[in-house]
Amino acid sequence: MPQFFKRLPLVIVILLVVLLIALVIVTSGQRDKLTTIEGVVGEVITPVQGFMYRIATSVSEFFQSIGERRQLAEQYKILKDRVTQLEQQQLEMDETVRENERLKALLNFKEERDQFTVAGVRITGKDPGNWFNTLTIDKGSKDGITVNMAVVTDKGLIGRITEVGKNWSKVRTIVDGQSSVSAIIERTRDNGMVKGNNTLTFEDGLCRMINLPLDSDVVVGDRVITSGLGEIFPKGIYIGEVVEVSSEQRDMFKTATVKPGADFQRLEEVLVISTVNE
Amino acid sequence: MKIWVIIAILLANIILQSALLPFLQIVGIQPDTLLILVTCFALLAGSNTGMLVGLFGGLLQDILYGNSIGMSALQYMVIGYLIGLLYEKIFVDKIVVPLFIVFCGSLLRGMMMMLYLYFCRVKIPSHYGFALVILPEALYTAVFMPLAFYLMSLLYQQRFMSKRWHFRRI
Repeated sequence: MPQFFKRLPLVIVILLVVLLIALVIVTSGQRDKLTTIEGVVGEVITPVQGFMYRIATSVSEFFQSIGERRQLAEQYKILKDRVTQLEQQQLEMDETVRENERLKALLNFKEERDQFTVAGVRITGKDPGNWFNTLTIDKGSKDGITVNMAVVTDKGLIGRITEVGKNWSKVRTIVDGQSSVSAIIERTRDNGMVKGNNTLTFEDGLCRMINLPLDSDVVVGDRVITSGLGEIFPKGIYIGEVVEVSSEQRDMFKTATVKPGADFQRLEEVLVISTVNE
Repeated sequence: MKIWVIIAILLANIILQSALLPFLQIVGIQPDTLLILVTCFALLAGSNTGMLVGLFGGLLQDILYGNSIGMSALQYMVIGYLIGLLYEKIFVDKIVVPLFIVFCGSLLRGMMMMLYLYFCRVKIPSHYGFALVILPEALYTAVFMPLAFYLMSLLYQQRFMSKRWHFRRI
């Protein structure tokens, strides 16, 4: 018997290992709702985490702003020119928009359903490991957020909600290795899938757009938007810009490297939107 | 007393790790502070403590961020247990030995992660995963180890920390 008790820790470890492996298998895959324990832990920690995240963001922004101040004068001149240029473009745009409206009415086009904004939320934390790219936000089912809603900023698509708690939710970003988004090139209308690339960390923050047809004339600088297929993301959300195109002879498809419009390193406030207008 | 101190350290860690460390990233890699903690506890108090810290620290991480509950808990628990086996069997100095051990622990965790991703069917060429995540993470984690180990050994000089866990019949 003493011999057995000496070995007890080892026995416990082996039991726990088996138990945890079972737990991993059970909980992996798609889950809509969090378990009770998950919910409670999240509810307690989220506010504290949000507070810390805000402090850390402002500290890093402070150091950044010192560097930015030096280039202000130079940038002011460039921006002024740009404003004049854009004002000109705006005028032309307005004209086109009006023309477009007229033509649409004429053709009796059915308008696509409006995107419906559910909530503006704050980021409270980022996945601590180096393998996945998920975020937590400070609103959940209480505010009408459900799984698969899209998360965006004004600069572009962030990702989608994967799990929802009472006052917090998890977001899988589009740069996560397990994420894939159906997308089209805005200019050429070629369909493809945008997949995350964050596991190859040197290109951190980049995505790959795969399954582009071989005869597509996609070039560097083309804009990539969501296609609306799959009905998770509304159609026409800006994802990013093509920075590299590669086609290997043995593949039947072209692949483009896409730089997302949103800056995933410095996220603070984002919007949650849904395709369905309730 | 001891258990509350450990819980407080774990909670502080998860908050620091997700809120503060993203801003310390170098080429997209951040240090694995939970592994540092697990290694410290295992080297200073043996495999039982190392294992428990790994288990609960990992569970906390899984619950808040994980794709499936139990994955990091499993990794950290096994690493904590294995490192704890060295407790009182080898001479542990202040810098080199903890640094080397946490480096090896990080490599081991990286390999377990690759295995998990393989089962999840996330395709990463293994040399990429090794060169771009596992090795840099191990190096970056090891850099922080001497400081953390020094602080933790100061903590373990307090009397309340030296009480032993019991696996005994009542």
